Amino acid sequence: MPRQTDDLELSIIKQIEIRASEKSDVVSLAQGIPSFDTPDFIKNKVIEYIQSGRVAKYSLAPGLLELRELIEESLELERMYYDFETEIIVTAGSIEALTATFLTILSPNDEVILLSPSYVSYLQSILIAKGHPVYVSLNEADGWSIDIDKINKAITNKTKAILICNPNNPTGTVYSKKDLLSLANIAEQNNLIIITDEVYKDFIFDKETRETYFSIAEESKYRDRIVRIYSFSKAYAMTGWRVGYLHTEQSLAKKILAVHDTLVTCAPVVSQYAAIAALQMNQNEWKVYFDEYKTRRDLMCKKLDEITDYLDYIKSTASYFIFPRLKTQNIKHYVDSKNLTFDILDKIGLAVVPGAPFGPSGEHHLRLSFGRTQEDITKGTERLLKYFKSL
Amino acid sequence: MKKLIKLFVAVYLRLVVKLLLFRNRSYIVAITGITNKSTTRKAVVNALNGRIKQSIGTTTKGYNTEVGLPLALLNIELNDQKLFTWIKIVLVAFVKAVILKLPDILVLEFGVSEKNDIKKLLKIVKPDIGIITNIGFSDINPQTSINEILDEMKIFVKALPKNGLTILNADSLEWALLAQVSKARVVLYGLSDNANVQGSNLLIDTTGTHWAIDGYKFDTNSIGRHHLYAGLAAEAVYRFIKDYEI
Repeated sequence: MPRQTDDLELSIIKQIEIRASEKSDVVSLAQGIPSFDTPDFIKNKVIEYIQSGRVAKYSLAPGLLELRELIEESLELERMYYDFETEIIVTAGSIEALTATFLTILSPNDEVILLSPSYVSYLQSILIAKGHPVYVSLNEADGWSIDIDKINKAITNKTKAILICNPNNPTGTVYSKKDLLSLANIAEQNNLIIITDEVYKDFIFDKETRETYFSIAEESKYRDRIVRIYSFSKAYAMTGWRVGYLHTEQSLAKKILAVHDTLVTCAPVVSQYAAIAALQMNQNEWKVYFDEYKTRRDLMCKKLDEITDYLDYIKSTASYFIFPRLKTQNIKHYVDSKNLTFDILDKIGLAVVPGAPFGPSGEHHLRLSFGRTQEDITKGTERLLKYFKSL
Repeated sequence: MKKLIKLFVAVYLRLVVKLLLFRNRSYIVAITGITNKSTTRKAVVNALNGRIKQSIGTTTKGYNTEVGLPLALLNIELNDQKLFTWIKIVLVAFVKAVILKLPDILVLEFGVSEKNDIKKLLKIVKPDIGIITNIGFSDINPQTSINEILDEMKIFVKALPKNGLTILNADSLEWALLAQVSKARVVLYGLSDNANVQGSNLLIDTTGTHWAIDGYKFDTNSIGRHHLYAGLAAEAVYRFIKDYEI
């Protein structure tokens, strides 16, 4: 008898990282891990909390009250209004938030529209909830923008939700307010839920785009059908702490909470304290990291400009990824992005992620992370050039 | 060693803040409780701003502890716990205590998560008006019982002066226990009939939280019943300050 998990396999990013860890002298531009350590302010606060005996017990299932209050306040600064008592759930990272949401809203074979390319692990999250993913391609020629017509056409009577990642991983695109409102309209007309994963919203490098950034959760008219997800992993260099949150209208939040409770009881309490410290930290400190990420992006673009015989790319507006398109006709023995990636890893010790697992329109691309150090970016891109030339 | 430094800094900051407050003689509104302190603090500031002649000031998020409160009053940010940072703070704190001009009315939060928290804060600041938002299990500290939190609240209420004001939530179970230890006049807020500042017509919808007090409508974009309570407590502060021309 087939089991629910039979179709699941470890995400390609983790497969690459595992294979890379078995080799020596590998440079990784694969997984989206910031090269920085968690800021001292957060670590010291957590040590205080541990020493005062506060972390050993479960919190309430939706999370520590103080943390949820702080989240409510931080959301208000971004024009999103949610009740900390009933509408905010602290989760074990964003992927748990996503999985709990899908397990809550999907019945077997319900369809979820997701944009292609978008984050690899969305697929597994949908599959584990017995849902059926339906990819709709982004418009690469228009800077990976949303094609509203294509989304409209993809909707069937089985469609339950639309999942977006904004800013998008792996393309680094920030979606326009106009497109997002059109999407919300479609959701309203078809009674769909929109799940918006905004873990990279702090990584918008262009000033104007950053200042005009729009989350669909700001629009109160649609709040009954929006689930917004955020993680502390990226902005606060806390990937290992596994803590994030979701917020949505209270009746849906109540249902998701029951699933969240079943999956993890509560987010790790020690990490919830780290999240409290993150929100209390002077947010200007983030500027140091932000400036460095911007420098790294520019460095990566400069280095990729030296490889334009083999790839071209759209400069990332946000996130810490660049998603170059391979000029396959110039790459000898090219089969597909997955084969190429493993060959690059085996031959020159560079870990990058193939584009195919991000969705059908991700094929013939690579995802490169500039979350790593400048040294890694320089070494990695130089190795990539060497690899292409050696073919 | 680290504990000794922390103790020294706490005592030093307390003394320095006493000097600052003595110089400025600001009128203090303090808010305590398990949750909703920050929302209530902001609501009080909003309720007073532009409606009275005195200047209003407040602190920023999270600065409601033995060390955090003095730093907030001195307008000093603590970004790390390095020895050099503390030395800098010690020097800057004194200078600020001598030159800083505080507003006429200060709205502060008193954080409480364990026994003696309130005592420590009262050693730094003596409030004139006290608001208690709610009392319950503090999941920020599983070592502390509800009774211990209630005792802390009693200490807070007892410390309010005769000519001050105790503002309690009429919808909570504990208000009577707290009211009986208060030397200050007691004002109740809430939806209950015994509330002096009584909310009515509460409506929470996608556009925010809406209520009325004595027929006057109040709205906020924020969602949740706690915003109603914050608004009612804030109105109680405004009425007292206006009526008694503080």
